[in-house]
Amino acid sequence: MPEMSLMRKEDLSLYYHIKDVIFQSFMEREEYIPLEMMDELCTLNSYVYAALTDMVPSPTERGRGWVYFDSYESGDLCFPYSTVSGTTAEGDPTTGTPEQSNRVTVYETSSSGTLDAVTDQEYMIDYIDGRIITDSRLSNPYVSYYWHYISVVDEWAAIEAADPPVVVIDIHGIDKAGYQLGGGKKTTRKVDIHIFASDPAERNDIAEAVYDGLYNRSCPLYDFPTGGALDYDGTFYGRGSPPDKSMNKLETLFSRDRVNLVNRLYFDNVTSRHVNLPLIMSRGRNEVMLSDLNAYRSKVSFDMFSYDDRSLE
Amino acid sequence: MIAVGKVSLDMVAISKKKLMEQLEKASEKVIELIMKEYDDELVDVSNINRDVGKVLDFDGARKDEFLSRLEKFEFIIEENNNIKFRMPTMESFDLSGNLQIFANIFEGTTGIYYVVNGEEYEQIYNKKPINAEPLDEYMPKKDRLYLIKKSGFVDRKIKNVLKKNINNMVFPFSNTPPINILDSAGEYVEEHMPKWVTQTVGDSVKRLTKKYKGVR
Repeated sequence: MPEMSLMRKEDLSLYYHIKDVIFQSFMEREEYIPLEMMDELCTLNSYVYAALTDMVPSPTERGRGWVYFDSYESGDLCFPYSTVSGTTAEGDPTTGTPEQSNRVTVYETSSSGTLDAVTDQEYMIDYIDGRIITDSRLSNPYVSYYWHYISVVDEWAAIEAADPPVVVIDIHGIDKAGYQLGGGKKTTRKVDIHIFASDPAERNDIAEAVYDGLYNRSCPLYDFPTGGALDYDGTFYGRGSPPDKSMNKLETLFSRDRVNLVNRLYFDNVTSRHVNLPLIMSRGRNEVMLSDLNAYRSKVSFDMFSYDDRSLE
Repeated sequence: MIAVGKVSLDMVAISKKKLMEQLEKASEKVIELIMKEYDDELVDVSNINRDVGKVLDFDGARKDEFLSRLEKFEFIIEENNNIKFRMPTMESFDLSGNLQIFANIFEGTTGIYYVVNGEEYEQIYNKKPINAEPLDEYMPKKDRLYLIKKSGFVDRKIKNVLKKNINNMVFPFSNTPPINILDSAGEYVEEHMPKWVTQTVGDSVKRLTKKYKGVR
């Protein structure tokens, strides 16, 4: 399989920086939500449960999902997640971040009617769809979890798939030029972050958070040797791989290896402005108002650059 | 014998004149590039549906107005003996009045919208437009444009009251990411500016050398 291009790694690294670091304070918690078994997805040794929440916006809408990393406790804002040593799903040694241990808790109702926490080795979590997968039936289960309040997507067409707030990352315009005598090049990309909020206060909060998270800051440029933090099925990287459930979660890590000889993404020329468009929508039979998604918009624009010295290797 | 100060002043005056000439040419090129982008990115799409294309009129009066405002745009600004070259942006370029519809395209629009005029708006809602500025505030009601979001209510009104086909009223730039043609010439200016300045200084030095040849 061909390696990811540098642009894709930059795009993904920026996505993680925005979703996990800049929007750290926009993670919400729901407590003791009933879990309903999804009969159509269950097999003889696999039971799938979905959280029955009526939260709006839905925690599992496009670009949201449950939180899969613990909150960070140390490090500066450019690189807040500390790394630990462990292995990849293939058993190769690596350093990175383990699956969360305090963001999602599953409970089972005991015979005496109390809620007992289920140990996290006994289930897997589909963080995208908000589901719990176990190999044994749970008795009247519940779940408490943190979820991403802001939907972060990377394509315009996906904006309408979720209720606001929605943030779109749009990388456009590439410029590559030498920056020193000898080899190496500086890659600059133009980036717009489009913010669609549900009211002016929320728009201002998000725009300010994005601006502050980029101004005078940088973020790591990850190499993604084993892909993203979640597998295709929404489970944490490597969790679906082990043949049994004895695998300790700490042994499979999301690798935070950085791209050799590039290392960081820097942000420059950060600007922010609100976008006001005279679009109209109907609400109810006769009520007319400014369009919902387009009514409270903001745009943060910046240059993202990196120094690529890989040709000097 | 001539004073160094006099030569210096002459150098400033000559350089300034030369630079102004160069930037005048640059602004003409910028207009040309933006209008090319206008034709490439906007005109064809606006005419995907003939009925809507006719209403939007991106190839007629609206284009003339856009070009006219570009030509009036103050590209070159002199401040305290400094010369600045300014590019038209969403903040600096006048998109008011009947050019307001371009703001929706340059900023991108989510969702499906219909293009209706002021009269159709009143027929749909049985009332005058809400306090949102009409897209063409200087034009007669029937020539003003509004973008109304698609909904069951609006669909029914278009079909039953306006007696029109909804497909012929869809804003062709609905659900489309930003197409900012104003940005298109920025790269050209960034790339050429150092060359223009170097060339201007070089030409000025040559002119000055010629002027003071033989003078001690």
